Amino acid sequence: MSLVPAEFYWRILPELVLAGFGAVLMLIEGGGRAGNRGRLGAYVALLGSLLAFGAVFIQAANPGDAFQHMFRVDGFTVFFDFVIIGATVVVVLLSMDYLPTQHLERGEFYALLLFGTVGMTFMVGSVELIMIFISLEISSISTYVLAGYRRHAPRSTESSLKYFLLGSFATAFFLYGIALVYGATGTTQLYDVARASLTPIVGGGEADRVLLLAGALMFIGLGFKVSAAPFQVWTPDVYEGAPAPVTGFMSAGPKAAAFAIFLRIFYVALHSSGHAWFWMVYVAAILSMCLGNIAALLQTNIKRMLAYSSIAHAGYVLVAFAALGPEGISAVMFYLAAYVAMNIGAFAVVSHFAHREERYVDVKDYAGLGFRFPVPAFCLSLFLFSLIGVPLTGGFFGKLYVFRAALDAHLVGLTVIAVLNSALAAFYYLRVVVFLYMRQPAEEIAAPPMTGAFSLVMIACVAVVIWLGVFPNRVLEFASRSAAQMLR
Amino acid sequence: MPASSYMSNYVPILIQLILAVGLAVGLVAISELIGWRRRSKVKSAAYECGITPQGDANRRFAVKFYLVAIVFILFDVEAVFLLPWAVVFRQLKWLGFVEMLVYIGIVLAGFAYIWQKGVFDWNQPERAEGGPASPIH
Amino acid sequence: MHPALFFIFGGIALAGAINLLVQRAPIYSALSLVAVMGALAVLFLLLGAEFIAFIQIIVYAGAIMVLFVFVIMLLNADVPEPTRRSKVAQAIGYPVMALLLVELAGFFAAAFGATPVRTGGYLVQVAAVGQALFHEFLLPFEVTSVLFLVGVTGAVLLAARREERHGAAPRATRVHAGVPTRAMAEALSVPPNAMGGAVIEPAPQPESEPAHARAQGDGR
Repeated sequence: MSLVPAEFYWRILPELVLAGFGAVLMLIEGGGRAGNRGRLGAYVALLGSLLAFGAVFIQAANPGDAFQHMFRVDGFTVFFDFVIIGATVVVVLLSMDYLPTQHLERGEFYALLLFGTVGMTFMVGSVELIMIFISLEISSISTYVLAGYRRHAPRSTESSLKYFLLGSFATAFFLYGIALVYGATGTTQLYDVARASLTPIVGGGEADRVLLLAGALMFIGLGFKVSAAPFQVWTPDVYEGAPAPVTGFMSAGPKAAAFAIFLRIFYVALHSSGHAWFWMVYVAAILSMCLGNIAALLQTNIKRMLAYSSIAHAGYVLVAFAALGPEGISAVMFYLAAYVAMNIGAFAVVSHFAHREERYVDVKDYAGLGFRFPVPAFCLSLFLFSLIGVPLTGGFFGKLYVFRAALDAHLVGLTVIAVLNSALAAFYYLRVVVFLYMRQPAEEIAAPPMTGAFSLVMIACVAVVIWLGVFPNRVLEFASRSAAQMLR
Repeated sequence: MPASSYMSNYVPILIQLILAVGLAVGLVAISELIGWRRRSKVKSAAYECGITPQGDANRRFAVKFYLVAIVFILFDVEAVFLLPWAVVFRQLKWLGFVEMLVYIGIVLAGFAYIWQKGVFDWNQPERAEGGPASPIH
Repeated sequence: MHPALFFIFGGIALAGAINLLVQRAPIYSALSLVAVMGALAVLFLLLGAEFIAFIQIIVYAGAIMVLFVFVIMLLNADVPEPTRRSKVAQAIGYPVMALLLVELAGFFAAAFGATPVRTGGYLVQVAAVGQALFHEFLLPFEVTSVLFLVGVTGAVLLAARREERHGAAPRATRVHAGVPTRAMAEALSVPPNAMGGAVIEPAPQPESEPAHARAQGDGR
């Protein structure tokens, strides 16, 4: 009996590639004579993440379960692997631009990026709660450390510490939820949990209540990870203090991965109590949208503004989540793909303009940049328009599908609130555009160098945002197929 | 397996626990009760040519200790995993061996990294910039 | 005998936990945490979970507590200054905590019934743990090693001295530069080498980085 057939390895190939390159990066950083190890690390990380991106194709060609039904390669896994690893490639490129200007380039940074991605990709493919938990920890701990990477900056340390303390707390809730699921059903495999919840082992119909409590606890843990209100308090401080590329990364990869397991756990394992947790999602969606957008209106620091905006976007995703059907899943998937592209793009421009020690991160600093640096400013405007949801951008179709899924599920009230919120959000996004093109600069920002890496980041993000905005059908079809497949 | 025989395996430990706690508490209690103390200024002063202590004895420890503790946990947990592995080693056959080899290999990469970083190098507090700290000179 | 053991060690765990909260000096809290861990290990043993009981001792009471104690020494955490204690937080916090505890207890009582304490009914042998770990849970097991790598990298990155631009002034010279008696007192209390490494926030660091850079570093 062969316990580990060869195709199991093909199914986790992206993870293997990433982990291998991560380990190599650690060894490079440790060993080797002085010189420019940071730069070498950047190229190794870039190669690793690109190879991992390619490995997703191999993974996609080998669908099925692996490792005793712990890991499942289906359309859903592949979709999120593309999104997450794509985000990592972009963030590696962005860091190649950012870190040298901060004099902070070191191999460990890239190693942690890759390891974090290992955690996230394992997360989206796992269909077993212990596996999900371990990968969630890998992804979280890497991001905690990355947030505090600018160690000499008090704000960065503060960000790391807050994120770590609150994050560990949230993870404990999640873990407690897992324990209760196991207690109620005797298994941690999501599809088995779904089956067992129909014929519970705990007598007297009480398993339902235990599962409900488990669902509530896991909701707290995951709600924190996706920064949904009322578990959002950490977001602005952490996003503000972390190095800008890391903020972009945090708002994209871990968020997408957390939403992925959110979907898997609640739509698959806790399907039977959907009527009960629906209201948690409903309330969290409304709170996230309103709180995020209103607070974002008041911000002057652009990183904080984008942090609140990311809370609001978590709210939109939850609107689709509340639709409780395959349309909801595909809308969430599409939205996240678009969101990752436009948000990383926006943070890329922010980190491009930030300069040494992140001096220029205020909206006022962006005054007049539109004419002095036309290309990055234009890209930023495009990403902001996409975040608003203007047609011909990915954000437009993302919102459209979310609203459609919610309306199909007869959630009229929720949809109305979401639409009103998108209108409100337009104010603070447009304010940045106004500053870019219609205000006189108070201080002349020295021209940041347009490096090749940064240009590639811009090209990639703009291409994805436009592509999703002009030809959304293929992606949406793929998402719908994966959604149906996942629920089976 | 009947519960009583399972727990009876641990009776020696229980006895030892009781002895240890009893001894510790007992000795302190006895010396508290019948001990004879007299504090005086001369007694608490520094002895002969000793140096008068200044400041607080509590001071910060170097962060190195913390790193060593982290490394300790790392290998402690690894050792914990070795325990069940060793128990079923024969049933696992070669596969189990390879599994553990992979695991230890990855953890060893971490070990190599911290070694190269000079975490264990306590002799060289001011390491030159850039270069890796080599533990051997 | 078993219920008696359960109540004795359950009591020790509870007393240790309360003591942990009540003590003002962190080191006492840490030590009572050791007592809690030890008592929990016995409770696991009573439940027939030998392996977890051993882990509880080896990893928690052993390694993790060492880490705690080192961190307390590292931060030189003294008896903390009491912060402004919010009366409102106390007035709301304690009742809400009590309410939640009662609710949780009620929930479990309803869900599982008033099942009496059941000990020694089953026994999970280490071999069974081994079989599960190396067959069914092979992937999570191997993935834990990546988690370790992340932990190690993170610890070294955040705690170990970075090859900083200029670095702190060599410790030895600083000691000699000080008042002789003080230097000697320092030398007596701690071996100089042990202090040589980076303390999280190095003492005066004259040429480390330009003051203006630091001031602007907060990003406001």
